Amino acid sequence: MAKKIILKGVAASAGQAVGLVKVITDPKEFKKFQEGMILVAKITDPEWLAVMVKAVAVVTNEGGLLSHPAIVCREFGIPAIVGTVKATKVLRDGQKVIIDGTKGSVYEE
Amino acid sequence: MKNKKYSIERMRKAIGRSTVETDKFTQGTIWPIHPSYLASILSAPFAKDFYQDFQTIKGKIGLKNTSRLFGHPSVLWLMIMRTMPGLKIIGLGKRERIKIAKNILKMIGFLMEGNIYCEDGKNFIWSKEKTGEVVQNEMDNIQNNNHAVLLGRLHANLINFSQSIFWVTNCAHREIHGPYPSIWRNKKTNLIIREYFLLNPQAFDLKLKNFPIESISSYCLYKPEVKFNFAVLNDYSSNLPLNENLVAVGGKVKYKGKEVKFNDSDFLNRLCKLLEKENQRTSLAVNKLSEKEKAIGLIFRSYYLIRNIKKQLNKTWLPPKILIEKVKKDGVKKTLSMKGSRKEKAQRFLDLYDPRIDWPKK
Repeated sequence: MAKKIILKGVAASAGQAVGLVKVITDPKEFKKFQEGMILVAKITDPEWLAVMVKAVAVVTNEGGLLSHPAIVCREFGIPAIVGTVKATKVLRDGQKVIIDGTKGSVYEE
Repeated sequence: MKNKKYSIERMRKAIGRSTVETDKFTQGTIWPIHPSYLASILSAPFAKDFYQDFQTIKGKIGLKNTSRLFGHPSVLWLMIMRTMPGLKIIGLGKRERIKIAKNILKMIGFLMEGNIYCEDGKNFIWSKEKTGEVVQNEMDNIQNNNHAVLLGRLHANLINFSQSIFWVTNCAHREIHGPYPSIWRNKKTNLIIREYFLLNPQAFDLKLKNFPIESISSYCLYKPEVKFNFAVLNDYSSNLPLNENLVAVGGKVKYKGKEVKFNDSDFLNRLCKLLEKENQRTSLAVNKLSEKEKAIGLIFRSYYLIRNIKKQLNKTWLPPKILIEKVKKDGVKKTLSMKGSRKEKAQRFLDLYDPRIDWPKK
């Protein structure tokens, strides 16, 4: 059976990943982010490298194909979906999802 | 294929592809400060300063030698964007603005082998001979998947660290170019070169005096299935995960004053850790700055783009004190807010950098 798409955005970095969502809205919350989680944020900047290095995928509300999360995830080789507008609202902490960075879709696991 | 016809329309489209279509500069959040916050203070004096120095230096050493002072194409693309709005504010006529823009395009042409607008999705800067030498002499097979992952981590760290240092001007201090078609051990591959020219500048108050990494050049050969799409200002997108499609790698780092190759995983790991630690320290320090301090920081970084012209003219590259005092006294405010649909905003954004248009309508 086809998986249900729960969010769409710009396919920014190719590849698939499965993991638990962690929504981070402020760098003060970085300590809560664990290795292997999916980072969900409004946008990222260089300070966010500390959590991006541990993430298996990244999903952001803002950004385009050449935004910070897009170019950094492509170099890391992890999937990324950007410009979703509402990722931080739709996705919840601990939710298990599949990220398809090639199609720009988030699926419910 | 060389394509060096200097067209303002193609220049406008190239800027559009690199910025508007990808949200590079048009998104609301630009770290650590949006350049539009400074437009009313910086645009006019910076453009005037550049215009006067550019005319002098061009007269003295010619356009080709002037292009060498900038070193690589992305600095010049950024100069188009940094100066065109200001040249309009200071009242420079349309004809003269177009002449300046075409002169900058010609300088970009001197520094490139390929299509200067990257219309073909390629950013060809080096000659076939030069890339051939790299493939012949610098490359080694990728050791294992961990090695490829480490390389990816190094490249991600470099992008972050460069942005931590140079902020929105970071693309002027690196050049990522390719994909150069190459043959590696009888197999078709594509070469991507990532050059980070300066990683421990002393110009800004970043306390990088003892940071041992001065510059890094990385050479990567990818399988031909990976399709790269470059725009001007040297960022690119790709259709497949890079780590999984890496075939061979080479590179060198200027480390504690010496040039060292970084083909082994242990040394790569050490470089990654150094960059991550320093990125964390620098980006945290930047995030703690006040809006005024960030604005002053951006003024310094803008003038740093023309430091070699200033040096050639025996002038200081430092920004005029009056600009700094103005920010300290008056602060900054966002002055370029645009109304309308996304398409209308995009057109007005591009109008700002189009020398044919006097000033975009509100």
